[in-house]
Amino acid sequence: MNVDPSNALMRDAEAASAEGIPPKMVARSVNVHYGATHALKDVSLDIQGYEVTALIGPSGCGKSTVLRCFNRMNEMFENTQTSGQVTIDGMDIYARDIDVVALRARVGMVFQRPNPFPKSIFDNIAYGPRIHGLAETKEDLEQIVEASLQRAGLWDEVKDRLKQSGTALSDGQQQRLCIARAIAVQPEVILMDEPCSALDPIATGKIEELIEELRTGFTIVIVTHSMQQAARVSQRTAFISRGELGEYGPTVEMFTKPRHERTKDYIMGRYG
Amino acid sequence: MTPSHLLSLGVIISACFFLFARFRIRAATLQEQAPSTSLPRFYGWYAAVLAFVPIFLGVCIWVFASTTIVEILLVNRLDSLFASLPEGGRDRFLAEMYSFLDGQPLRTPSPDIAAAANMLIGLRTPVVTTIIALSTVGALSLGFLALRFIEPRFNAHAHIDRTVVFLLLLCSILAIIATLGIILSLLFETVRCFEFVSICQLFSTDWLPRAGNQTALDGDAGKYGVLALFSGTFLISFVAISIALPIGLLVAVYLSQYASHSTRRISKPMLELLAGIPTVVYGFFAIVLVGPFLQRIGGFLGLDVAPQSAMAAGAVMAIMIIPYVSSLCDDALSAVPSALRNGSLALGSTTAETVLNVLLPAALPGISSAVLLAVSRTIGETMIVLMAAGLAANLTLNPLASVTTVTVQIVQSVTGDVEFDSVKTLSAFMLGMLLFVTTLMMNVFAFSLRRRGISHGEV
Ligand SMILES: Nc1ncnc2c1ncn2[C@@H]1O[C@H](COP(=O)(O)OP(=O)(O)OP(=O)(O)O)[C@@H](O)[C@H]1O
Ligand SMILES: [Mg+2]
Repeated sequence: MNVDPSNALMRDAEAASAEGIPPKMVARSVNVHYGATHALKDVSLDIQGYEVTALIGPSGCGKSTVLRCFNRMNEMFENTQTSGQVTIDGMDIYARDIDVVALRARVGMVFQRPNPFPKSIFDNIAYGPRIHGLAETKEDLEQIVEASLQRAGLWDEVKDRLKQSGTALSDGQQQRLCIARAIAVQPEVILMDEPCSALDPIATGKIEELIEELRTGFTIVIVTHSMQQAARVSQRTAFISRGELGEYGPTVEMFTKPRHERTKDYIMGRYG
Repeated sequence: MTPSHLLSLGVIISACFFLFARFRIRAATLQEQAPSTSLPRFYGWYAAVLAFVPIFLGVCIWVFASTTIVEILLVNRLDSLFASLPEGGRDRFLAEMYSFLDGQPLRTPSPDIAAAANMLIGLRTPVVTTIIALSTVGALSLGFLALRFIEPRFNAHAHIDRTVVFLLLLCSILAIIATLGIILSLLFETVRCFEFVSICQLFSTDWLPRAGNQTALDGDAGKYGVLALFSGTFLISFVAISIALPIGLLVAVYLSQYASHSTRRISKPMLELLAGIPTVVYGFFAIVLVGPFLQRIGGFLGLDVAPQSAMAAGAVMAIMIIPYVSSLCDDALSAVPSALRNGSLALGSTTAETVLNVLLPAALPGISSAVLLAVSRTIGETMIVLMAAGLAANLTLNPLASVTTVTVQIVQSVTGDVEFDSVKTLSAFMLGMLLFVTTLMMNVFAFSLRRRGISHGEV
């Protein structure tokens, strides 16, 4: 089957806007080059607010790259070039006068491997609020820390040892600590790059519950290798293959009647 | 024939055995219709190495021991002559004979000496011939023995492997032995020094060593208080580190976090160029430029700056160690997992905030170890302080005064007319030992910090 990708994209975009709510973030014809590697080719993608969008696709296809376009973390690498347009609430984040630091406060990120700072649990959470001056007083700060840990479902496990090092927690707890750390900055969007790939099934289950719960307050984009996880947590799924957007639509449709042959193959585990 | 000829002969013999052995194993595999355990070249190496061992031993004996062997033989022959000489006469006789042989006789040689010299020359030839003959015979017989061993089931590869491991071990043992030798010789001379100088005497501030001939006049061996020397050393180190650490650290932060790839590629080697400048040039720089400059500044401010000051020496030494400090700090910063850095940046902190709040704390063990290693370098540095700091042993904390250091006094004690058993010379070994212990402790501490930093970084 040979489908013109731009046509498919148009349909996807229409499907989103048909619901009447303008998308939270929009990527239009985004191209990313890492030196000579053309990692993303003309990707256009709408992210709806207060939904979980899953990015799936074979390894090396560019899922992380898509994710990093939304907080401009791709720029951390040498010789990266990004073209096209990415907007959040209609504001072009690659515009000249954009403050990257302020952008990253609006768009938080959780990484594949838990990466708590080698500081106390309290300081890990308080790090962002301190930098952004979110708390006037010590009480405010303590409140933010408690609220973030509550939200990340970690409060009961750590409330008696906030002074302990964040690195002393279990992997699953560390990942929830990182989520709490991201929440503490009060972002609008949370990007998650395979947040469960280093975790056991029980810890994974907890994080998935947490994601489900967080959807009420945040827009979430999650990269995952697990089809089941995408099916469980997301409302929309984007299938990326070889740097291109293969298919994008509501998760249910994607998993029950994929439109493209390649998507189907990948979902059935025949490719990737 | 010289030792190098013997060595070449050994190489030729080994090469022949290499070819023989390779030929033999090929023939044997054909004959027995069985594949050999190892590749043919390993059998070749096996025979070659075995044949080379006796030659190598022979060369070693020739180079290191033949003079001693010949001398022992000579002394045996001249036993009756030496019996008639007074105590110590034998050593003097031999010394005179050797200088006669070198063509620089101390005075017109007595007939005894000339005869002994002739006898020595006569003894050399049979000794050398024996060495050559024994090692060649040994090489041939070991080589043929190796050829007898060679058959397809023989695992030559394993033997070669074991030989290589043995050689590697030998080399590292040699390095350790050399270090131990240096430490032991320091230790022995230090112990001898303490026969003349009591340990309590060290804890005073007067450093006035006196040469043997001066001591002979009035029996005064001098004063050996090391406090002022060590205070001078540490004062200069302190000055150097307090200048080099901030600069080196900032350079490291800039290079590792801010500089673009191309800037880094250009400026890092340039910085490391500083490390290649001979320290005597730095010393010269200190005398000609920095010293007078500091004096002029001091003049403006109404401060009394000595022409040779701890400040001048420390400042120049700081320039010398900046590349060292910055490269060690760079390593420490780069060892911090990039996940931490990205985590911080993704929370919306600037690079500066990331460096200050995340990278520096995580790199602290590495940075402390960099400081300690740099300090031990400044402590051991000699040329710059010799030229720029002065010779007067002053116990002072004033960096503008002239001070002297342990290393400078070591140089003072062992240059010029030296008798190797005067207290003054021995005191140099004693200072060397103290210095060695000080820097050793610092380095050990620094390395343990570094290791802790690295294991920390892997979390
Ligand atoms: N820092 C980089 N420098 C150069 N090339 C890169 C860099 N990061 C990614 N790439 C290349 O870009 C392409 C997309 O990489 P990306 O990390 O986005 O894939 P991914 O889908 O996240 O893979 P995975 O599922 O294995 O995490 C790959 O071909 C990769 O080799
Ligand atoms: Mg990835």
